[in-house]
This record gives sequence, structure tokens and C-alpha cells, in this order.
Amino acid sequence: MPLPDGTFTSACPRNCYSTCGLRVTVEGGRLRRIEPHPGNAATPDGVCLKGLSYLERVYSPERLLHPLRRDNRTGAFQRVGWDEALDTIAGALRAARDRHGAQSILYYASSGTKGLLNGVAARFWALFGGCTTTYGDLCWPAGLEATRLTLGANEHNAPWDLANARLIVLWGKNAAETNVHQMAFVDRALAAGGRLVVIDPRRTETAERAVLHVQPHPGTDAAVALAVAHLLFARGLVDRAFLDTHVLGAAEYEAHVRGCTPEWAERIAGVPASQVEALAELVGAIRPMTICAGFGMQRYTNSGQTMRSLIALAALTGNIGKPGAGWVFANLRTQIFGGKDPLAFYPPERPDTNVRVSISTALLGPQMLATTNPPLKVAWVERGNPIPQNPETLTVLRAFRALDFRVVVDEFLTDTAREADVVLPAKTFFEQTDVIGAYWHDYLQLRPQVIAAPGEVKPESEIYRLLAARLGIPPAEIDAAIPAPGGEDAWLSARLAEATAGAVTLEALREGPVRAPGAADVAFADLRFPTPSGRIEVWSGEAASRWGAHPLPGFVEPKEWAGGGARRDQAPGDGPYPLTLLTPNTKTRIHSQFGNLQSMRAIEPRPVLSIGRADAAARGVSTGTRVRVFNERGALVVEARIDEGLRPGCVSLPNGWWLSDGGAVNVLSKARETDMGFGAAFHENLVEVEPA
Amino acid sequence: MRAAPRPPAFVNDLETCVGCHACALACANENGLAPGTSWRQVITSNADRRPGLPVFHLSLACNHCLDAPCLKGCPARAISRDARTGAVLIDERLCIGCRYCSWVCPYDAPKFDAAAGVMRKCTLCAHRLGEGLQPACVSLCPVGALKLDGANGSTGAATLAPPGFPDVGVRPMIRFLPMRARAAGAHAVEATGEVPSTGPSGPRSSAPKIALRTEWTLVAFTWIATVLSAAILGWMIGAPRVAPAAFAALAAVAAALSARHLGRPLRACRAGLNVRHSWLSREVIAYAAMAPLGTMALATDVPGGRLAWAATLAAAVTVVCVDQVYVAMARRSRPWLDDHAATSSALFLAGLFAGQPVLWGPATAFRAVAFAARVRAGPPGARWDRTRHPAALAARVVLGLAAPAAFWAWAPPSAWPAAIACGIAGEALDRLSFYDHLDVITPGA
Repeated sequence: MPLPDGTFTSACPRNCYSTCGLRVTVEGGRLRRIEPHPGNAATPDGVCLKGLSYLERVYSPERLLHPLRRDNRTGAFQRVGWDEALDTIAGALRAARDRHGAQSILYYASSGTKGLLNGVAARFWALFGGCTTTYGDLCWPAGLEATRLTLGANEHNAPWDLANARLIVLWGKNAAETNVHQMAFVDRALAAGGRLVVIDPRRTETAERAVLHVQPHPGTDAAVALAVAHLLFARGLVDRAFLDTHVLGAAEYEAHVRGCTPEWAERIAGVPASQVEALAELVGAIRPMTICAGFGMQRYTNSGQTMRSLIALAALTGNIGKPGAGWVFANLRTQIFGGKDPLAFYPPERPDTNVRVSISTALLGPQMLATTNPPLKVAWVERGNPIPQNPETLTVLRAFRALDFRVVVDEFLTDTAREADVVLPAKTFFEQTDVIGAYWHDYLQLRPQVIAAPGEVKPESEIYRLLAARLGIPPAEIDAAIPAPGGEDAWLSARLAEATAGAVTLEALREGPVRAPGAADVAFADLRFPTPSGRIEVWSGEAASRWGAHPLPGFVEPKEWAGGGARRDQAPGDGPYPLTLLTPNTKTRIHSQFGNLQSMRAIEPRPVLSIGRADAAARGVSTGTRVRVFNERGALVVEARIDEGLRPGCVSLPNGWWLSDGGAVNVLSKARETDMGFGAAFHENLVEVEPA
Repeated sequence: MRAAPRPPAFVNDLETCVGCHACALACANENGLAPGTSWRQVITSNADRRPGLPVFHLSLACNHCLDAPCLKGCPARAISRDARTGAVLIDERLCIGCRYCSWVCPYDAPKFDAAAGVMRKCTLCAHRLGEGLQPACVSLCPVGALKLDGANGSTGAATLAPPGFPDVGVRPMIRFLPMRARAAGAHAVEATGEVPSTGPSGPRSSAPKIALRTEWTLVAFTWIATVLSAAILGWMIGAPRVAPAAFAALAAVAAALSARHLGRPLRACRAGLNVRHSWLSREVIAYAAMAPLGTMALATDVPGGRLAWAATLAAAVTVVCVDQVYVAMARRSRPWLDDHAATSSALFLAGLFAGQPVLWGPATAFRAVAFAARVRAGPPGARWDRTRHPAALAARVVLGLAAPAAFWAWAPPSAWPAAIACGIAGEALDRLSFYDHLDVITPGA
């Protein structure tokens, strides 16, 4: 039965703060318009350029519409039918299971597309007899864990509450590019007389609106935060009443930061002491204050402690549990369908006998190669592009090439898909109904099927059903685990009913976004914190017991850094790789997605390295020069561009370019874990630049 | 006929706009444009983040100017003002694809659609306005930075055009809300950087509108038109008669070259429809008259005859029109001598053809000064650099200016044809240089 034309409620399922509510118009069975859904109060005015580019993405001539199989003689991909593709895969899976055990198969999924139905993959692998999979996460663990340890839960005020703030501190966040809808609320606060502080080594579009722009050396944000805390205590700018009632460890922290003077911070972070003072004056004087922290800054080996030191500033000034105040990192109220992050992605305390959760996402390449008993022989990748996106790209590539067989499910022939033996064409979110959550606002949203899948595209749930049947799994077990085509609505309704006790229905979601049960505009309004002490734990016993960290926040030297003055034996910028490589996200992509579209190429045609004027002059580089960016892990050759607003000693190359574009930044990064939460510390990345 | 209404004005809020490009994508989606193209562009000022200067963005499409230069300049009368909305619209059924509207538009609004062979541009989403909707770009701006003001006339408070926005008095329907004042030196790195006082920076956001590479057929056409005009003018003052067949053949080649430039060559005859307003139409008509009149005069008349005078008039009008076509789109800051490039070139060549030092002598001086001023002013933005190569500069001066004088001073009269050949070659080089240095008004430059 053909799908009807019309205008439908939908939502963008990318790994992005905004998670826009959409109104999608279909004419003649084809997407015609993408507009914002006014029912999502966080994103009511417009969809970002990526959301608008779905009209290109869905119909791109580069989209995969048929299964591909590698011809072992020529090495080239050949179009094959589903039967052939699935028979090949079933044969490889069975062979690996029989010879090495089911755990010789790696199931790797990432954050490419949100949806409850993604969960059917785990059910398939359980039916199959197990697999090996990953723990941790590339994106946000250190910040989630720091927040969990300090506040007890990852919740924050509603996005629109930011308009009530009198002081907004965007710490390591370039909302103008990564969360453009937040800028509307920033603008509202500024129009009402509020002030904006931006802390970022780069002069971003966001920083352009700041009254104070602090540019610390990457990885040293904790030093700035500790010095601000020191000044707040020393000048009596802390909220004593709030500390006495709601904060654990304030007295200890006061003593702990006594030596953390602005001059001390200047030596480590390279920020003028006067700016640290100016920051402390603003933070101490203006309430309510909201601190919005970005994700990039918590991808260092010291970033759990860094994030704790930032949250402490909100606690010291009593900026928690009030309108216009708070710590905005991640809002996980929509995680109602299972465990909550970060605990949900930690290795299980009682290991499943079938599923081996043994590979840290941050260490994917090295650990795939090191895995034994059984070693890995087959990989199944979906919703992810781990080769360019995980740290140490060349090691990840080597690990994939060391396998006997690889399956990749994707919309496009990504770097990872290019390495596959069989590539299966993935649906877009317009082609199968699903329910998604968010992590900035707290809306549950439906993204219904509105167009027929083009070509021979099948959703993953159907792929798994067909594969399960080929592997001899009884039909009744398949039906119990994975909804049949057309059965998605009933399956989703059941999940919703179970998770919300009937409060949210699929029918309601068809009308528009619905806030998750328990949603509130102000988080922690009752000032009750689900921590062991029931208070905000600036002193965290669990930080010490679980992670071996100091119970109080502090500055810890990153493992790989160009050195602040704190290391007296080494002048800043000494050593073979004196430049810190920043790998920020940009408006044109969500990690490695969207960059292949013409709409984005028109804006950003090729990877370009930003470099400060002095660093460029010292290397004979100017705008347009082809440069080699390198360290002992790898090298990239890209075009350079002078950026006079960049902190000296830093260079910047956007993340998300593919290897085939010549700009895959993780060629240069190292596989390391963050100090907390099993995150990837791949922003700790020193390089040198020379004319190519 | 009732006057068309004043169109509503776009409003750029420079404080709120973060340069996200959603407006450009919204336009492409609404109008079904090829991915990667749009009728709206986002121009970043100070993309290099020079200290002391703000970074801001202009979101520009068509400003539906009250004195729209495209409407006046279109030789085919394909552009008109919509009686309902006041929008300036291109009728794609009438457009010949000559691109002249994009050259005279200071905002680069008309875009050439290579597949259709015609110009297309922002329609103010007239189809949406009719339904009570905002234009797609306005309606889809995620931060409310792009608005439409006064659906029928109210323009509110006038605001100063920001740097990078060409303010050339064509009454564009656009307003700017300025950025909020902020403390100087907010950025940490500014503590050490030098602070320049004025002016936008950074390279051009896109390729120049007129590039030698793509417009070589027009270089050839204007050069040949000038040489042919000079042949008529020179003949009137004593130069040998050019063979009519050669004249006619060259004229046909030039006409074919200029038609080759059109997106819709079969509609070429529409190019003369706007004599009342468009210098391009006037050039086309004058040239179309000169070619047959010149051929017939050379074949049947004598200098001073009635047909010869008619041809002379057409030749003179042709070179003046050639000049005016380029005056209409050039930045006012360019050396004014180049406003008369084709005319002075024709007089110079006519003097050479006739061996009249009283004509080519002063013309040589004028041409030399014009060339020096042009080279000194330099090219706008990144251009083809071969016309500025020292060898190219030297060749233009030696061949075109020094050689005729040297022949006159030292060579026997029998060698004069060689002087003429040098002069013609020199003028060809000059025409290339003229094109390469065209400083066409464009946003963000």
C-alpha cells in the first residue's frame, strides 16, 4: 500500500544537542519540505542546515540502494541481491561461530541514528549465541560521570530557561555551530541585559557575542576554574548558606584551592591573571548564572576532574535548582527505556555468559588487535563509521583489515564501508517508524515512516529477521525478539506503555513532541540530589573509590600536552610536536555525516587547517599553503588558513572529514581513556605542521 | 496602469545571525535548486578573525531594489516588477542568458542556471507571500535573524550599510540591525595582536562574477568591434579601404562569438529590445547597424558619402556603447580613464590606420596613462595573473604604444603596416588586461 502524502510530525535522530522537532511534507511520495515543529519549544523556529539537507541526502546519487559484495578476485564491490548478500553473511557468521565461538564476532554500533528499534540488534546477537561488544563511549562519558558524581543525575534546566540567566558561561561550547538553537535563548538573555562569557581557545561565532572571551590552553580549564573558586572563597563571593545546607566538601575545597591563585592559573593555562580575576568577578557578582559546558573539553585524560571543577563553580555560587541557573551538560530525562548513562555503558558487573563486553570504545583499534580467547574474526558495524571517527584511525584500520569478514550497514560508502566484505544499504529515518529521546531538551519524539524505502533498502530490523531465519533460529523466537515489517507501531507502543506507565502514547507523539515523564523546567528544584550524601558532592568518595581520583576536583596534567608553565623543565611549545591540534565539530556535519553532500561541500569544500599568524609565520605557512600535519601516529596533508583569533600554540582541523577526503583527524589522535567514565581522550593531540 | 507596490524589505539582524547557512538551504529546498546552489548567499566579514574587528555575516539574496539595475540593464526586457508583491522577477521564458543582470547587480542576486541556460533569482517567494506565508529563508531561520519588514512599504528606521554591503544608491529593500556594543579587547588573543582601524578583510567569498577564462568570447567581440569601428573611422580620414568581404566576415565572426556566450543563443534577437534603458541593447543595435552599413559603405561608397557617414555614426555609437556597458557595473573607485577604453582604442587605431599622428599621438598618450593607472590600481581580489606578468605588461606597452611611435620616427613609410599590426596586437592585450582588472561591484569585497 503506498504511503499517503501530507505533512507529518517527525524529528531528527542525529547525535546532536538540538534533536529538532520536524514537520515533514511529502508530495507524490517524495520529501518536499522540512520545517520546524512548533511543538518542540527548544527548536521552534528553524531546522539547521543539516536538517534541511535531508532533501539532498535521502535522494543523493551516492546513496547506497542495493547490497554490495566485495569480489575477492578484483577487490571491487559488486551489486548483489539480498539473498546472495545474506547467504554470504550467514555463512561467515556460522563459520566463525563454529570454529572460534560466537564471541569471535564483534558487534559495533555507534550514535549515527537514534531509535528504540536499534535495540533489536542486541536481541539478534543473543539469539545467535552471543558476540563481543564495546563499553564506554566516544562522546561524553567524563562529563556524564563528573555530573553524576557531583549532582547525582544528569539533568538540567529546560533549554528555554537559559533566557532567564543573567550570566551565561559557555565553557568549551561553540553553540553557534553545534547547538544553533541555544543561541536564540542566549540572544534573549542578552537582550534582557544578561552577559555572556565564552571560554574557548578559538574565537568562534559564539565567542563573538561574549563580553569576556577566555582562551586557555587546551586541557587546562580546571586550572582556570580552580583559580576562580579560590577568588570566590577569598573574596567572600560564595553562597555560604547554600554551601552549608546543600554542598558536601565546601570547607575542604576552600583549603584545597588556597594555592590556586590567578598567577598559578596563568602559568598553567596561559590565561592572563587579570582575565581570571575578571571571570571571577562576573561569576561572583551576577546571578543567576548558567554554565553550559561543551563536550570537546572533556575528551582529555584529566577531564573528569576538569568537569568536576566546573560544576563546583555552580555549586559554590548557589546556582543550582533555580530558574536561569545551573549546570548544563546533558539532560537524560528521556532515557526511560532502560538503564541511564553513564552507568548503562559501563562494563557489566556480572558479565553475560554469551555477550562479551570487553573492548573499550576509546581503545577500539588496539583492543581489537589484542583480543584473544577467542580472537576477533568478524565484525558487524552499523550506525557508525569507526575508522575515521575512533582514535588512532590507522590502528582501527589495521584491526579491521586483520579480520576474516566485515559487514557494514550504512547509507553511504563511508571509509568503514569501503573496508567491508558486504555492505548493506541502510534506511534513512524517513523510512521506518521509531521513537527517539534527546539530551538537551526532554522531548520524546516520533519519527514515523513517511516515504517508502528507495531501491532495495531494508531497515535493520528486517535484515536481522531475514538473517536469523537463515541461521536456523525458530520463527517464534524471531517474532518474539524483533518486530516484523508493519509491526513497529505495536512494538513501540508496548515499549512506551511500559516505560511511561501509559502516560505517553504513539498517538500523542504523532501530533507532536511530548515531554518525558518527570520533565521540569528547573532541575533539582527541590535541592535533593541523588548522591550518597543527598547533597552536591564537591567531595566525592566515589571519585576516589571508582576512579582513583582525588575526592576533590583538581587540575591534573594531561598525559600529552605542550606544557604550561607548571612543568618548569619544559618551556611551552618545546618538544618535537609543539602544537595542540583541536578537532572541533562544525555546522556542516554531525561527526562524519553530511560532509559528503553537495550542500555542505559548497560551504566547506575541503579540509582546512586553521593556524595562528605567529605559528604560521614561524613555519613559512600562509593562507592557501598545503601543509603536512603530523606526529608519530600519522600525517595529513591539507590546506592551511591563517586564523588570527586562534590561541597561539593551537591549530584546528574540523573533525568528520573522511580518509578519502584526506582530512580524517583521528589519523593523528591516540587511543586513550579519560580519567573517568571510559571516554575517549582523543582531543589530547600534539602535532607539528610544515609546508607539504 | 497602477504603479507596482513597494516590496517588503529583508532585515538582517547582525547580532543574532551566526552564519549558519540555513537560509541558503531553505531557499534551495523551496525553489528546487540543485544541491550546493542557492539564490541566497551568506557572506562572512572578517573571516580571518582580525583583532579589533567584529566577525559578522550578511545573508543576501535579491533586494528587489526600487531602482533595480538588473531591470534597467536587461537587454531582453525579461525582468519586471511584480504588480502584486513589488518583487523584481525574471521571466525565464524571455531571458536570453546573457548574464548582464548579474554583472550590473551589486548584490550578485541573479544566478546563471547552466542547465536551463537562463538567469534565475530570488522571487521573494512571491508564491508563498500570496498564501500569507513568509519567504522560506525568513520562515526557516533557526535564530530569527532574517526577517521581512513591512509587507507593503514600511521600512522602519534606516540603518547604516555594514562593511561589505555595496551601497550604490539603487535603493535596495534591505535593512540591518546592528550588533550590540561590546567591550573592546574581549578576546584574550587581542591583548597581544595589533589592531587595524577599519575595513573588512578576508578573501572574496566566491569566484569573481566576470573572469577572463569564462568571458573570453566577449573580450574577442569587444576587441573586434573596436577594430571594425576604427576601420570605418580611419577610412573616413584617409586610411586605405578594407575589403568589404573581410569586414563582413570579421563582423560575422564577432557576432557569432558574442552569441556563443548566451545561455539561449536562439533568443539572441531579443537582445535589442531594451534600447530605452539598457546600454547592452544599444550596443547590440549599434553593432547590428554598423556591420551591414560598414560592409555596404566599403563596397559602394566613398569616404564622405552618405552611406559612409551612416556607417561612421554607427561605428562611433558602437564603441561608446561598448564602454558604457562596463561603466554601468564597475566600482566607482576604478580609474575613470577606463570608462573610455573602447572609444579611445578606436580613435587610436583609426589614427594608425590613416597614418594621422595628430590623432594617434594624443590617443597613445591617453592609452598609456589609462594603462598605467589600471595596472597601478591593481586587480580586485584573486584573478588570473597572466595579464600582470611583467612580460605581458611589457608586450602591451612595446607593441601597442612604443612600436607605432618608433616606426613613425625611424622606419620608412613602407613599414607602416607593421606599425598598424603592432597597434592592433597591443590593443588585444589591453582588452585582456581591461577585463582582468574589471572591478565589478559585489558584496563582501
